[in-house]
Amino acid sequence: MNTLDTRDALRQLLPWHENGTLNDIERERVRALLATDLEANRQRRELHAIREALVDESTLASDMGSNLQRLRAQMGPTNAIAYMPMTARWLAIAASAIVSLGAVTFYAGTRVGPYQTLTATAAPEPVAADADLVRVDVAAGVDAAALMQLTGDAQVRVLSGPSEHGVATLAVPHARAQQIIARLSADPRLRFVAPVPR
Amino acid sequence: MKSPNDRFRPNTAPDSADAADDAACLAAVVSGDREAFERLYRRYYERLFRFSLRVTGRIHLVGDVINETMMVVWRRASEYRAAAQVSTWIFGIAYRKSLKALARDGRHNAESLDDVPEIELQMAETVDRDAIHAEIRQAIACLPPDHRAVVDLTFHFNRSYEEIAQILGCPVGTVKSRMFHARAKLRPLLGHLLGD
Repeated sequence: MNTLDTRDALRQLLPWHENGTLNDIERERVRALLATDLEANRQRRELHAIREALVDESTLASDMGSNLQRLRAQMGPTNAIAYMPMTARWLAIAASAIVSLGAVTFYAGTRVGPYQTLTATAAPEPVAADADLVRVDVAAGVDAAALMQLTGDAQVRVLSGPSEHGVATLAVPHARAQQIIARLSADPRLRFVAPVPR
Repeated sequence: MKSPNDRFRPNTAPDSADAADDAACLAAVVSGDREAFERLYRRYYERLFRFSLRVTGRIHLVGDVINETMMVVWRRASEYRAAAQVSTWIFGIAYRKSLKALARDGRHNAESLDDVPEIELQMAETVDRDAIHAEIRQAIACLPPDHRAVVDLTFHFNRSYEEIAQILGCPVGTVKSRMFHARAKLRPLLGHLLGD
């Protein structure tokens, strides 16, 4: 770089010499230039005039209150997720999804529990090896205690039910299964009685 | 040691205490603190008003530019990187929002910014200082927006050329080049006013 290039480069720094933001090395070099260069001094006077003109300008910022009010309206309610910072927004969405999934799982569990059909055993309760399973369909108002009384056998166990549709499953001793089935079938409060294969 | 012209220095360059408080406010904004956000809003309102008015030259755009700028601050505070000062980051947003507002408004405004007129010399005989300053400001208003931004950030906001480059999102060489061309456009007026 020759002397002229250096001078031009230093003259380009004059605006920032004027505002005092040059580093020490640059500032010293510009000072040295100003000590010897008439053109740099002329430019410096121009820059000084520009600076005075801009600093002298009184700009009255107006309407801050109404502008802030408008911005608040755009921002929406405090907890509006749409205006949360990006990271917090994703965390909130993830937390919300986990809670929702848990709630759905819990609700599904409470719904599936009491569901029964006539073709599947609803009660997983262990049954003695010498017992037969009997499915019955009882009239409304017959509960498990009444069903036990109807069997007339203290060793009969009500494994499940009666459900809201009147379905119940009994475990009866194999030796007396036919008698019990016959007794229940004869009772008008039972609409259906049948052995269930194990 | 600073420039000998400190008597003209407006109190706009952030000192270290302001910068630290800005950073603390912004950290609170990241966690959704509205109070901290409004503190930043109030602190920056006047500066952004001044800067966006200088860049756009259109007072009716300024309110929207400020609010769009601060909405970005609210939504994207977590994207701020401490490599630059908070004020530099916010001014950078304001600069881009100002240019966008100008582009939008330009479609509805007969005054095209692509056709920047040559600065009209007001050959006033007065040596009144206020009048000279007014003429200089009027001449600056005729510069292209990116040149106006460099001039204002340098002389009103006392920013270094590195900070201006960060705000405008351009190389340092471009900042110097814009300043060079801005000065070249102002030179005839200044030469007359200063009697050179």
